[in-house]
Order: sequence, then C-alpha cells, then structure tokens
Amino acid sequence: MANKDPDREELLREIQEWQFVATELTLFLDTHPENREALRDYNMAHERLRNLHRQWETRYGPLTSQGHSPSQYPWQWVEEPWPWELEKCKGGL
Amino acid sequence: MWVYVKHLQFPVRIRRPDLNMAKYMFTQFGGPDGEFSAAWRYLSQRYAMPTGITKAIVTDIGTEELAHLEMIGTMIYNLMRDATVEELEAAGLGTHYSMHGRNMFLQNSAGVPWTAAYYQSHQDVIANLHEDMAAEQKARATYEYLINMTRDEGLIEALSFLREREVVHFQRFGEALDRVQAYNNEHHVFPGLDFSRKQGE
Repeated sequence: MANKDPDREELLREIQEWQFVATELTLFLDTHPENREALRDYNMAHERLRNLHRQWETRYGPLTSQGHSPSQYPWQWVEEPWPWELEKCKGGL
Repeated sequence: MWVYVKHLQFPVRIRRPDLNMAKYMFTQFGGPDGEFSAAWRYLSQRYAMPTGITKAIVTDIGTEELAHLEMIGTMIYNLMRDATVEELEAAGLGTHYSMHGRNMFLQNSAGVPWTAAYYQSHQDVIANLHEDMAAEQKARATYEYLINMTRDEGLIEALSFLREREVVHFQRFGEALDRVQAYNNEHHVFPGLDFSRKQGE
C-alpha cells in the first residue's frame, strides 16, 4: 500500500530534491544564460531527474500525462493518491 | 502549453487540524499577495515582454507559483478536512462552509473572492518588473506573518520554504531588470514612449 511503503516516500523525496535543483537552476540560468557551470549542473539535474522519473513510473505509475509518461493497463493516471491527499499517502505525495 | 506533474513541489506535513491557520492561510491562496495573483500577474505580463530573458523569467516564475498554489491548497484543505460543522462555525468558517463545504475557493482570509484588480500588466517592462519585485516582497512579508501565527513545525517548514522562494524570485526579477535596463540604455530604448505615433502626426 502507498502509505506503508518507505521506498516510495524515499524515492519521492529524491525526485522533489532534484526537481528543486532543476527549478532553481532554470531561474538562475534565465538571468545568467552565459554561466557554463550552472548550465553543466542543469544538464546533470535533467539526467538525474529523467532517471528518477523512470524509476518511479515503472513502480508507481505516470508522474505526468499528455504523452510525457507511459501508462500500463488500465490507464494509471486516474490512480490515487493525488498530491493533496496527504491522508492516503503518509508523508505526502 | 503546460504539463502537470503529479507530486507537490515540497513535502507538506499536517499533523493536526488547525482551523484558524486554515482561515489565515487563505490570503496566500486567493488574496492580493497570494500565489494565484502572482501566477497570473507574471503569466499575463509575458506577451509584451521585450527580450528572451524577460519572457523566460515571467514564464518560469509564473509556473512555479502554480506549484506554490497547490502547496497552499493542500495545507488549507488538510487543516480543515476533518473538522465538524460546529468547529468550522466556531473558527469563523461557517460562511465558507455554507458556500463551499470543505472545498477550496479563490478568496482571501476574510472570504472576499479573488479579483484581477489585485495585479497589473503593462506593456512597459520597467513598470512590470518593479511591480513583480514589490509583489515578491509583499508575499515574503505575508509568509512571515503566517509563520508568526503558528508553532506547528510542519507548517513552519512549508511556509519557510515558500518564504525563501519569494526571496529568490525577487533576486531573479532584480537581475532581469538590471539586464533590460542596461540593454535599454545601450540602445536608447524608452519603453513607455511611442515615437512612431509622434512622427505620424
């Protein structure tokens, strides 16, 4: 079950951490497009995030819809919990 | 276009109901300095932004504000989800319950519905970026008021994250302003003046 799976929570934390790195570097690069070091870090964060998304989606279903993530049968996008349903996923989605 | 990602930007931990905090936090959902106002201020301003940098920064910060709106909605909803009708009434949320039950609505802490009059969108990039920097400072101040009103560690953690984002956004808008001002000075651009009309008269 979603709310008793420590791996699920740990993997989600890692996704949130690398998503944050990518978001922060996006904004920094917007105003510093010539910064090579930040660009290298951004591309590394992208690789990590792509990898983590794939790990999550193999185990727990798609993180995005609209053609950006695959789905097994039956259509997994409708599966709960949704991110605001803290009671269905201890520690948050 | 936009793509939804099915997780919160930052983990939200709610241990116990707190209807007073739920009510106060509505200001960051549908209040003047809330996340919805921020998102639509920046996303409305995109169209006439003059440079790639200024178009990118309002697009990306406007998008991040939607993730913050989801965090605030998650916090408020879970703070009031298990409350009885009597408890909602006692906390001053009886009028909210009469109109929305326990669901979310774009309104401020006093229950006043959101209005687009909370923000401006100009063709003038200098006016826009100054408004954006002010908006980030007003949101930072609001998060500090909210942090002052609770002792719950989970709430303080999430509110502190959101407060920090306001500081970073202020910094990035300031850098965008510096760059566009340098460009305008170098190319003698006066963004508010329409010389073509003067020449045609």
